[in-house]
Amino acid sequence: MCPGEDPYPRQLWLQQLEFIVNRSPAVAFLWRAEPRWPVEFVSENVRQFGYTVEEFLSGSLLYGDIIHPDDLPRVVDEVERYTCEGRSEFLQEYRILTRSGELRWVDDHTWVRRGPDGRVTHYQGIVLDITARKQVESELQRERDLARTLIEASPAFFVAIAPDGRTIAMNRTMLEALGYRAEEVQGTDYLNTFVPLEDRPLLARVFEQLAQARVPTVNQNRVLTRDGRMLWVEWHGTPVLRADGTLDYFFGLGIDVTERKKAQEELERRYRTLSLLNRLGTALGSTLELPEIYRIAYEHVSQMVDCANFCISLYDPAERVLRAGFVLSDGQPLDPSLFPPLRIEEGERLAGRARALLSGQVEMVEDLERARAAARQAGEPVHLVGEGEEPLSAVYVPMWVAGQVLGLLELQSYRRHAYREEDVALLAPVANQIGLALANARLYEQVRQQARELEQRVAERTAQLQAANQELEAFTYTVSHDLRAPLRAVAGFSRLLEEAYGDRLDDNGRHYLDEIHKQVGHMERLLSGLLAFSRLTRQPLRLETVPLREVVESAWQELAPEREGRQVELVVGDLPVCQGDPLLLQQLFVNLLSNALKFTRPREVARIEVGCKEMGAPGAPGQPVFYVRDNGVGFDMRYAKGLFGVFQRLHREEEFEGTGVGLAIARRIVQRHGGEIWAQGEVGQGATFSFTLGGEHHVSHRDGGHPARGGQRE
Amino acid sequence: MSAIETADILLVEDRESDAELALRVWTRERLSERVRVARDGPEALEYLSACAEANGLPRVVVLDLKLPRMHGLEVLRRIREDMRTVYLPVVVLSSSSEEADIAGSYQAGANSYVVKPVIYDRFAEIVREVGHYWLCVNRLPRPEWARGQR
Repeated sequence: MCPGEDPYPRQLWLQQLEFIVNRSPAVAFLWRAEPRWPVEFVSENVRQFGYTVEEFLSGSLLYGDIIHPDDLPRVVDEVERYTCEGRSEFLQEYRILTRSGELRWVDDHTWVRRGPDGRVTHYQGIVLDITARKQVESELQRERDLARTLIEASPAFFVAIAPDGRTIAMNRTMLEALGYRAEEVQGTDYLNTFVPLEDRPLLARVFEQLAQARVPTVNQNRVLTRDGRMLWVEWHGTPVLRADGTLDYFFGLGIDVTERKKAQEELERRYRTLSLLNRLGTALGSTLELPEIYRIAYEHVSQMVDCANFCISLYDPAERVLRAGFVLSDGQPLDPSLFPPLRIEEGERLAGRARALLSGQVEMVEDLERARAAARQAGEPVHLVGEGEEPLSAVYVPMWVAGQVLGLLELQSYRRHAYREEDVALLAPVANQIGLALANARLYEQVRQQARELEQRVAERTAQLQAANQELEAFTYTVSHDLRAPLRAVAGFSRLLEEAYGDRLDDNGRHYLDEIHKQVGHMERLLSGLLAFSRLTRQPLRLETVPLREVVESAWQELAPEREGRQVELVVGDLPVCQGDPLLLQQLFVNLLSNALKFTRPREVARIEVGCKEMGAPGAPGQPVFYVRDNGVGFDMRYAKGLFGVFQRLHREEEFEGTGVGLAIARRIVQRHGGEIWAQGEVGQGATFSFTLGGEHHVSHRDGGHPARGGQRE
Repeated sequence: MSAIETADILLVEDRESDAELALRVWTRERLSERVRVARDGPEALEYLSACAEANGLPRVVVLDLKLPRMHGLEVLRRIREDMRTVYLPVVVLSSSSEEADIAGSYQAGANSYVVKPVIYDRFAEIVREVGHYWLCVNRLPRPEWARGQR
């Protein structure tokens, strides 16, 4: 229906329009194109701002008066500009003040009215209160700003990637970390620009997963910095969806875990190191043999680094020379003597091995070829053994033991720069362990050698002693035999002489023959004694349980001839049973009793006592001590030292005959039973001969007691 | 073969003094004067061999152990190994009183072992006894045995 057409009369139409407009928030204005825009027409709903139509129409209030003074210049400027541009309509946003002074944001849609001459006469427009909207907008903006601040201020990486893989944006932290500017990264192919080759497949899969499953993911991958370094990042990826559910972009939050990863790797490396050192230590500790140590060293070191050539060399500080101890080339052992010893001298131009040895620090030779060329130029000897490739890099690790450098662990490779810092750091403790094992093996060998030498000397000495003993025995045996024959001859012929011509001799002559006879007898007794003594040391001891009382009685019986015609008292005390050789023990008592009988001869009544008392013998406390006591002539203790010597006598021949062997034999018997014998005497008061029969082998104090334990025997 | 003087006793002894003393005893006691003295083992064995071929062996061999060239025990063994002299009485007369010598001698087949004393009286007594026993007391059942024939 247009205006003027029936049935809707124009009056009614305008009324409706007015009604609708006045009830709406849109305020209609007609301004004159004059400064501050006087209002020619304004709809009644201007009241929403607190103003009346009359105020404006009367000219007491101009439109420019209600515009916020801060916005007024801009509004004026805009109107002029748009007008000059020849626009017919334009939009503006500015603030106005209500009558009560409140601030309102308005949206002003203005049309330009021009006169017939083209000059602008009026502006007409709809002004809409958009304060609420503006508030919402400004809150939205604040939120956006907050989000942006958070993103930028966060220490984490933020990246947005389009579904086609192009980088949309990165936060400042990530840009700085990677070394790029914002504009440089925008639009780049993320995967192929920032992700290292090996990690791309993983990330591509992550993108797929995000796109399809539309759920967040977590993964770790490395990112490339501008200067080619790599950072480890733990990514939390989220797909960002539009309102209609389609994928808008991928959002990633990344945490730089490079440090953490490094720390982890460091720990793992330390653990591997310790593990390796431990295994090596255990293996080395299991042996003291040099070849084994070398083999174990090679096995372990070759697992760590390149050991195309492996050599352990030892330093001789006395000669200042480094000698190869063990050499393996390409897994084959070589004779170490093929390598001439290296003389180590101080000097400025120290290199390679010499420097490693004297400084005690690891020497890495990254280009061995160059080093060899330099050495050749300098006229120094260069040694290569064998044909084939020449090694191109080397490392010499000193073996430290007890504060000294024992030698070098020398490794060579056919590659250049084969040895890196981290390998070398591990080689130092390894070399020290090897050195320690070698030092131990050396010590052990020394000790073994000494033990062997000692054993040998002992064996030699024992053999010597045995030989000497045997010689002595043979000598004694032979001598006593060989001396008897001529003695027999002297005896025989002197007797024959006596028988044949005795009656023609005078007293003197017969006396001479008598003397000869006596002396022969004496010598015979000496020889017998000597023979018996010699026999004593040779015959083995026959151990039995011997009742000593019976032995004494037996011995006493044997001495019956010597007792004939004399008054002799024998008192025998409690004698235990003991372990010993019955024959020898009898001989012992015969000798001691015979001795006692001999030296009691001047007494009218000879008193001899045989007994046993429990007391400490010198050096052996708590043993039974046997004794033979007599009331004979005794002896001077000052001369007692020689009492038991062979042929030693304390009395002159004419006082008491005897060979002087009896007591020597007695002592030998006692010694062979592991005991000791000693004598006490006083001139004119008799003598006591005491003896023990060894430490461990008697037991009971009554005859027929429990059997004795064994003891040390000769 | 030359004629061998038969003897009652073969004394194997290298010491002249010992030999003379023994001979005197046997002479004085009228036991025998037909004593052949051999100075060592080989001489003794040679003599016995000749005796065996000829008329007869001595009645007894008195053997010292300490001989040059061949030890008395070896001589004794050889005597016992030879079938012609296996039953010939041998008395070992030695100055040794060692058990080894005594046992060894009996093992080798000696009829008895006598220790040679140094004291003349005892020496004379022993030598006399040996001679007396083997020349007078010990009568062999078959005379041919003394001649070494079965």
